Amino acid sequence: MIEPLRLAILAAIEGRPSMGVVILASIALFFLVLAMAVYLIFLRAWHRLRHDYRRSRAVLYEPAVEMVLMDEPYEKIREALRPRRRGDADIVQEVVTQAMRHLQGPPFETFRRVSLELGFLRDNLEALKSWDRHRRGHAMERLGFLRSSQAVDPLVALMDRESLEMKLVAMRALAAIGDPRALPPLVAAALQVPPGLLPRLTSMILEFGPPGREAVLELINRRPGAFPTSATRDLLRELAQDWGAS
Amino acid sequence: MNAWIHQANAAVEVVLVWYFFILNGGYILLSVLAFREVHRHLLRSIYGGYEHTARSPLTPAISILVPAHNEQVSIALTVNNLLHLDYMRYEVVVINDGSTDGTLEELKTVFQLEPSLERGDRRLSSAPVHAVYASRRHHNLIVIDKENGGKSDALNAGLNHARHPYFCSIDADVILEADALQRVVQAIVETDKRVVGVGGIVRVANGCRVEKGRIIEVAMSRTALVVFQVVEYFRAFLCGRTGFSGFNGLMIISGAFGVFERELVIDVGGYRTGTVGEDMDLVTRLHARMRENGTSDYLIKFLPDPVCWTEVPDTLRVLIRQRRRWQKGLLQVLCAHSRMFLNPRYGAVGLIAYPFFFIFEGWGIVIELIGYAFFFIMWLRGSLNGDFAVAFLCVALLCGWALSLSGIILGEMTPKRYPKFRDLLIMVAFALTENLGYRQMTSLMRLVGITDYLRGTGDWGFMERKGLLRKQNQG
Amino acid sequence: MSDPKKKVLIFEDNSSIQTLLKFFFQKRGVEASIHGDGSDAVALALAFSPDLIIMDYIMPGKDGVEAVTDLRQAGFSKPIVMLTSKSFPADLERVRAAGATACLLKPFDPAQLDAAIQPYLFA
Repeated sequence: MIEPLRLAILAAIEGRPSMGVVILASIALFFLVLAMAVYLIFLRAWHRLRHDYRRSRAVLYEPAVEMVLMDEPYEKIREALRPRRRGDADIVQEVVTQAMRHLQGPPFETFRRVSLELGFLRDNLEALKSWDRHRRGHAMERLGFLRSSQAVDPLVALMDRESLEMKLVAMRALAAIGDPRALPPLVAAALQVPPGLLPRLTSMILEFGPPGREAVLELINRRPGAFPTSATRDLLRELAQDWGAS
Repeated sequence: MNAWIHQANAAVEVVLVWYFFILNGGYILLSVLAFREVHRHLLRSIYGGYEHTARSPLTPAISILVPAHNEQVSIALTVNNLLHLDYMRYEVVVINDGSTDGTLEELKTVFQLEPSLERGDRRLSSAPVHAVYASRRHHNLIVIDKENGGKSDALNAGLNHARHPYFCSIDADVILEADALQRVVQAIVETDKRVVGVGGIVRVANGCRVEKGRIIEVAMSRTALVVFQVVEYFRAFLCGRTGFSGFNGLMIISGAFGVFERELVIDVGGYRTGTVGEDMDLVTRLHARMRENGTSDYLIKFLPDPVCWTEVPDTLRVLIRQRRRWQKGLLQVLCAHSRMFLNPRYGAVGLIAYPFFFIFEGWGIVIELIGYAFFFIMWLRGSLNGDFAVAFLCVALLCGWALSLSGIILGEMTPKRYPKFRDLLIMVAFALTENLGYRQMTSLMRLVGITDYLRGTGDWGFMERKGLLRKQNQG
Repeated sequence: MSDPKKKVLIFEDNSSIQTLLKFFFQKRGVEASIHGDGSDAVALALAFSPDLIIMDYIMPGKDGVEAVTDLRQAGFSKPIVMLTSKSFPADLERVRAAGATACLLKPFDPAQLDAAIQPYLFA
């Protein structure tokens, strides 16, 4: 079937290069369109399946949130959050971070302790080396919640290599961890970063408490012109001093 | 005579093919660029930190400007929704543009307005302002009552009274996403360059379930005309604008939603009255100003994120009026900024965006229609190059399909996609049939728009609002 | 001594926080009714007659400050506790002026919430 077609095409192209171009374009486009249609259907189906699967697994671990708030015994909570299947670890962490996002105090600490004991710290440190940006990003965010100093060095190392978006995620995580060791690289980044990002970075640095306050004051002094408006600079200076006072 | 016809035949063939390949090649390149942008944006959205930005004292405040003319039916609900966005510091400035119905009375009653000391500066000229009102209940609501002057004029009056560093101009009948401001501000704050303007995806509200002025369920309309427009909007916004934004060549931010730096806009003279394309005109002027000042270190961005929902025309009559108006507006803007054409001083806008719009969006319709007419005449005379025509039409069709599908795929990657699989299939089906009539129809409408421009006719047009919000008011 | 069960009316639109609050009050044996939208605050308060209202500062429909104002104007005299993210002093002032009894910062700390409601629910 291909042979007669090929001959017909060659006959049509005879002496008319523009026709050849058009036919070539047709064939290329046809396959492109086919691929896109398939991709579209596949994308939708895959998302749906993945979402449904993850939902069905997450439901198994969500009761743990209730247990934490009901002050159930720690061991019971830990066992409720232990991943039951390969691949569940990621889902458990999603459930946990979703709860931790809105909590502080004893429940937060409980989740944190469980996460550390279930080995999630190790998992996330491993995930930092992943080629998949999403895995790295989620890992960075979760390391921020885990507040472990062990994550500081890998995160700082990652900061240098990553694109802007991921760099900010890493910085946010470092700010959440709050280990003063992260301050010098953050300040170094803030000194180089273009002005538009400075207010964000300085407010992250302020989260470090008193040493952060020092760093911000230094930053403002070293880059006074770089802060977008004088109002921002003064506001930050005021915030830094307020935090010092409180 | 025959020789002449053959020559003409060949010449037209060449012109058409070149026109076609450059146009579609350009769109395909834009699509590829758009894919990259959407991907990057997705990444940013996932690890957003939007709530953090929205509540930080360092985040700039925004003034929302709402020009309103005869919106009595829905203004209260609209303004109420604007007062409950998920953003910490912003104000809502409603400009009553000489409404002849009870718009102002409605506002006065519902929001307990009382006269306030006018504190606007008069840097932009506008039609006379009668009075300024503040709300007893809402500290961040101001209503300006002025004489009718049109949308641009109303926005300029609003700019005079706005007090935050950024402003957001919206149409009075759009439904804003609650976190639209958060997302836009994130784009401003987390970019290393100075962002002077941001736009976002305008989604089609027809067919969606709306309650209390918010979209609670995304669904496809049953009207064919609307579905065609949905496909068109996806393609135009996601491939077109996102693509252009990727190399800072974005020339238009929809009047339905746009956030800009207030000082800069006042500096360039505010919105231009007397043109139908005031949104595109402003963006182009901003580009011009920045470039003329010698800097290319700025951005006018497009966020591949839904920011607002609007009702699109669901009857031919209104659609025709809209497309005629758009085409006329486009040509007006292109004419006003003709110095940019292939001018390296204007960077990507002058070298790529402007020529592209000029040739393909502005006047290219004429070439397109000449093409159709030519084919038709040749076919009548029987001297058509049969197989070439067929092959060409094939390529045209396939190209159109590829572009529309890109739009749909990118739409799938952005939030608030159509959840029902059936709606996706409907979109794909319409994307495939778009070139079999709809596109030709809109091209004709645009041709009429061109004649409008050349003859200086055509009306402003305003859409009869079925009143998405009105239905809810009564419900 | 049989104390009637205490009742709390909650206005919070974030589903995760709704869940957390639900469990919080369940544990303490308090009946909690949760709503995501403040526009019917007054009607709901009259119908449910809670001993305490917990309200989010930013909500669709009617934000916290408005709802508090409405409630106080309608004669609701029980305590109203506002949940708010890190905010500006000016906003907190406005909320207190409107009639809120206390302000609590999010993220949600059960111990803090306990301390805040203790005097009103369990005195």
